[in-house]
Amino acid sequence: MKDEAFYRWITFLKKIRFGWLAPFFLLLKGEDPKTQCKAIFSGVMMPIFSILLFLWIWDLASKEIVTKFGTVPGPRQVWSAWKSLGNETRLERIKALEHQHRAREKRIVSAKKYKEVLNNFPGEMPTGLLSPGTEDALSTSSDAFQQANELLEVYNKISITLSKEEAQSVAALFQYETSRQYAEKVIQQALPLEIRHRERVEALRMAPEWNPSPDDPDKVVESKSALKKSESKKLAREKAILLIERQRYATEATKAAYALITSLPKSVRTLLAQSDKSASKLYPELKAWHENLLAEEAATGVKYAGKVKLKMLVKAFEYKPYPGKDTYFAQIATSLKTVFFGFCIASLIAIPIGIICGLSPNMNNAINPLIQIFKPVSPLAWLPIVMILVGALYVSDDPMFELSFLNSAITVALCSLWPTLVNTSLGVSSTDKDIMNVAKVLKLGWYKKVTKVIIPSAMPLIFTGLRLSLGVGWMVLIAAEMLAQNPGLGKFVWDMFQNGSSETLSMIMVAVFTIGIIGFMLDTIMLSLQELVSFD
Amino acid sequence: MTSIQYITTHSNRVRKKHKKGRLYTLSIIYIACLGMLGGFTHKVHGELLDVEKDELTFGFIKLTDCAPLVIAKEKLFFEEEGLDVKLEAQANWKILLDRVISGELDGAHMLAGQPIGATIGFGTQAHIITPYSLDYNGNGITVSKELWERMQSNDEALKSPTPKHPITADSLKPEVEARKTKGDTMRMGMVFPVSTHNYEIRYWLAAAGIRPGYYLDIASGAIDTTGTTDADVLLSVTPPPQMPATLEAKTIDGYCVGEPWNQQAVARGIGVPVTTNYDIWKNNPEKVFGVTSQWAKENPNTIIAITKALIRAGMWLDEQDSSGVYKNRHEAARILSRPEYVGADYAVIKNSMTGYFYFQSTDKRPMPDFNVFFNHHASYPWYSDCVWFLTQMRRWGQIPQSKSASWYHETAKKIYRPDIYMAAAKHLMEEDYMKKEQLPAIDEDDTWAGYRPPTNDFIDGNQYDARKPIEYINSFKIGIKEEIQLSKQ
Amino acid sequence: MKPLISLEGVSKSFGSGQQKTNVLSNIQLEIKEGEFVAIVGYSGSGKTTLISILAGLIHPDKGVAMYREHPIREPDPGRALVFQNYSLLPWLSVWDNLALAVNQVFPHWSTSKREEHINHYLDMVRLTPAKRKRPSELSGGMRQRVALARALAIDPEVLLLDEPLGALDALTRGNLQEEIARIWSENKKTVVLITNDVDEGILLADRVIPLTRGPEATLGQPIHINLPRPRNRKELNHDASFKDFRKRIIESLMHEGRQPSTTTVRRTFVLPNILPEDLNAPGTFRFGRRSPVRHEEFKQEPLEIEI
Repeated sequence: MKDEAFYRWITFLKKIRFGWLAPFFLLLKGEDPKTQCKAIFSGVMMPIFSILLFLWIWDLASKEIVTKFGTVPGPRQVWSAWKSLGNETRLERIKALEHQHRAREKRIVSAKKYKEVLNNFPGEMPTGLLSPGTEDALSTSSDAFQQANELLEVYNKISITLSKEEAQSVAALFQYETSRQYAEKVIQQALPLEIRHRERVEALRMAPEWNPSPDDPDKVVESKSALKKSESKKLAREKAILLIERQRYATEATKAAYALITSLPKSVRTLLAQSDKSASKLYPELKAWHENLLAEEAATGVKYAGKVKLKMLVKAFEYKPYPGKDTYFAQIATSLKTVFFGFCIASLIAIPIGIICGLSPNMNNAINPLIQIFKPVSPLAWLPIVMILVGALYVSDDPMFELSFLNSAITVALCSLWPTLVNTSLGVSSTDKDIMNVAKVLKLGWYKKVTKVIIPSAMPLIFTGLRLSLGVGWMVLIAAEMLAQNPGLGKFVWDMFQNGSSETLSMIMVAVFTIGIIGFMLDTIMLSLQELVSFD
Repeated sequence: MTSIQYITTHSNRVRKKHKKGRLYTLSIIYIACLGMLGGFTHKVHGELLDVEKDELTFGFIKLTDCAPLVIAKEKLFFEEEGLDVKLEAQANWKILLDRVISGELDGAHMLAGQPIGATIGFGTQAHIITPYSLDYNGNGITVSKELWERMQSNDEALKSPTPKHPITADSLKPEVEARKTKGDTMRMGMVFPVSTHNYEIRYWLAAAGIRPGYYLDIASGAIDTTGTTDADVLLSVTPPPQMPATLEAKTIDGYCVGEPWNQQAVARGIGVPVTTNYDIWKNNPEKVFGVTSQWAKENPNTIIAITKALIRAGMWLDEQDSSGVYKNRHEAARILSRPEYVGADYAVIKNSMTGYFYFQSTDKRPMPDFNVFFNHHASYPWYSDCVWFLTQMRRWGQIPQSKSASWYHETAKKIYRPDIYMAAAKHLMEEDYMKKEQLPAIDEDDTWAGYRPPTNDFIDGNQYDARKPIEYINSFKIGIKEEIQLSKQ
Repeated sequence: MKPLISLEGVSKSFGSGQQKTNVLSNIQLEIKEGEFVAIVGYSGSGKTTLISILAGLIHPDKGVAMYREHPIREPDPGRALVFQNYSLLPWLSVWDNLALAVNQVFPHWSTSKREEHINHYLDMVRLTPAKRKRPSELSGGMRQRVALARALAIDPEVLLLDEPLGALDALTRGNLQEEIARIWSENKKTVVLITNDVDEGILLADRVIPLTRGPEATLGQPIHINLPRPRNRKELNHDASFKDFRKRIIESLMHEGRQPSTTTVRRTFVLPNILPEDLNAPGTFRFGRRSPVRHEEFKQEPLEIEI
């Protein structure tokens, strides 16, 4: 029985496309080692080998090619660009923490002033405007923060006698500053170096000995390319070393700073969280209170307090996220969200239409020409139309979606609905004739026939269509985002391209790999789902 | 000792020193670090404005002159006004303008001609206003290496490694003629039909008697949206980042663009910047901050708060030490070189931002006023600057009908809003951030308040008096001419 | 006694113009209630067309098909059909396949009654241990038993069996034949069995009717099989009257049609794409080269049938 569970697990692995893991499990179980080793060799070692070979060739090639835009980044540079993206995310997080802290500070000042205003209320305090609990909550919130601050100071005093680990991280923080200055100087080095190098090559090319002489053209070409090669190799190496060094410093230093800032004692963290929580609970109540007060003022003509001043005090309690830049990971998330939204729209349109087309040959014939005409249209053509239509039709004061998000998602939907439509229609129309006869003999009603017989039998093909659709959608998304300015991966690529900096190419390559890997994962997930609904 | 070695040994020394007084240094830094977390004391001057909207998104194009926006955010000037601002890089000027109009962006870094073009209905129609001028100068005209060699052979004076400036288009004229007799027309790139670059390259060419083409066929009145009617040189729109590549591909022979794209051409060795717009017109308006008039009406306090933060950013950028060196420009260049802002390499941005410009790899010149953000009252929205753009739009036929002189003045008052700027300045003065002498002396009662005095700081020495737009239009050899009685209307 | 089902002068053709083929012509048939009738014929002689007319899936061009003295207009659960290739819904388990039919035909029954009913029929075909399995996990014989159970579970008056055992191997076929005989003896339903196996007809039916070779196939003289029940296959093989019945049927098939030449017909059968599984033994599932389970390899195989 345990065996059965084991083999079920193996089958499951194969279904979710992790079949390459199966030989390892079987090997552990000691089942036919020779076969398993063969399977591991062909299923695991070969792909790894080809990837390594690819990296090696890429590395070699990148060192050889020097364009006017600088050297082509090799795997190392792309890897360090990837790491620097992680670093940027950490820096952004630090900034967000700082922002949060400034908000807390503002709030504690506001809370104090607020109490003051309430205490010195001119004349009779209008009753029933402020619920009794609010005032307590107000002081709890500010007390929590104050306590946290006091604790922070105590912590601060204690930590002057530093533990070893802490000393290290502080040292790293110190390094962060110096390394930033260091890195700055290093980068300054790079450009003049490049210009100098190019001048040298240019000057050599101009020199008379480099004019191709008719008697021995081969020799000239040979020595010329030899010179160019050795020169560019040296430059590429120099540049790569500078880049790696800069990255390493920046990365290590930020990591240390991040660790330091996020390693507050738990008591402090809890208190801060408590303070934030009670403040965010308080905000709607205070806001309502302020509005009531204004209404009261308008009705009675009594001026209770300075309007603006109170409003600003209330506002300090509102929670607002840090308006920072979108980090790379946030951009990936946006892209995924957009593609899924577009994919859902596409499915909601394509599956019902596909079912109708599959059920009725007349409908199929009617719609088919439209499908054939619209299917090959590129996202670049759809997007302007979508932008104009959505811009005109989607008008709302408090829009649920960003326009750019909707534009890209709808473009994705328009480009990706066709495979689902065609496959659904095919799946429905090719329902087994005998199964349809069963439905007839049982006298199933139309609705039951469609839901219990036709759709389940078309499921595998519908899922094939969905998988193709998602693939198309993901491919189209990048182009759509570039033009629609949706803050996803497409915009990342476009922004990096516009930067035109020495890191541009490496960053775009990071994006290429990200897009590829995510596309591959999406496809794998859809394949597994397809496998799960198939009944053969 | 090369500087790399120097840095390494220097930082080693720093590390050694650091080891000695370790505990002392560490504790100081540690406290500083915690201070970063908890110790930000908020210096509140007076009362904050009661802003109507406090979460804002502004668009910008990756050019160094978006600096006031970036600095206002990064140096927390926006935050101190109670504004949470998000900056979003846009793909091109058209998309940027469309998104401001659709309300996706609250405001944006715009070409000075964009609010004007939009308001008078050239291109997309929408009433855009500008309370703040982001900068003066900052553009250059670059020609390809081949063309530079031809210009040199036409004018011996240019053969020096550091030729005398300003370089006019006179040495270009024979080449344009030669191309024409070959049945070919020279092509050059600019950024946008209503961009300063378009008017500057046209001004530069026309000053040497080269016709850059009209947007209107004067005889028939037919409109030509490409602006190539009767042209000696064909001007086409090319996005700034693509300029060097397009030049290299020989699709164009030269271009007019902002930084860092002129310096890129030098760094890549494919072109030679022949002139900057500082030589074409000293202290010419370049970019502005624009919002829709509707938005400004709905958020009257917010727009003042934004302008306050921008003025502070401009002041920070143009802060000079006693010897006249910009104090903060290196830091600004570093911030701008971050990938989410301009993103070009620091070394490239630094050149123009700190007041240097490479005309050739051998010809580096100090240009302290290459980018002016605040000094010379660069951030004040002068009506006269708006009128200049209107006269150029009429000169090249982008405005197809004749307009009276009063129309120019009224239009300028509709778009440029020094009243908002002055309101913001008043707050800043109350808060001790600004001194009265940093503001232009404006006599509110003067009919011509907000007009800069007449100037002939142009490459051709032609005088510009904004009070007389019709006369100014008629003063050009090349360009549409107006009936003189319009100046009285 | 009035016949339960009667066909009077039924003809059916497919296609039009030059492609028109007359499949059946002038079919006369009467079936009494409780009778087990086997219609024996060549492959491609129109047997399926005939049973489809009986089920109401298609309508005759000429003549009339009557059921309880009313013309057959549409299919009805009262005349359950069992198909040659089982026609189980592959995405449903055995139990759900039956439930779909039972819920549809007896919607007013209580849930527990329906469950009991389904269990009863699963038990009858001895498939209770496999009730949670999907058709793809069952052997061909088991699948046909499911199909049979489904047909019986809707409690029809007539059971129409369209070559139910055609795609099974000889051993399974023999077992199922006995099963059908047993079930029939328990239920005494009216059964119309279509088959190309003469022995099967003799073994199961009260009356065997030969269907002549198509096109324009028609029914020959019925032969009453008055062998005592239960009939044992092994014993019958030596029975003289059994041999006589067989001879008569084959002769009638040979005579009444045009003289058939011995030909080889190529047909593609959808064979069960899994090997039989012993339900009582634990997992015999193996990996590696020796693995017996390879779905793809079993899928479609052309069968050559010698006639």
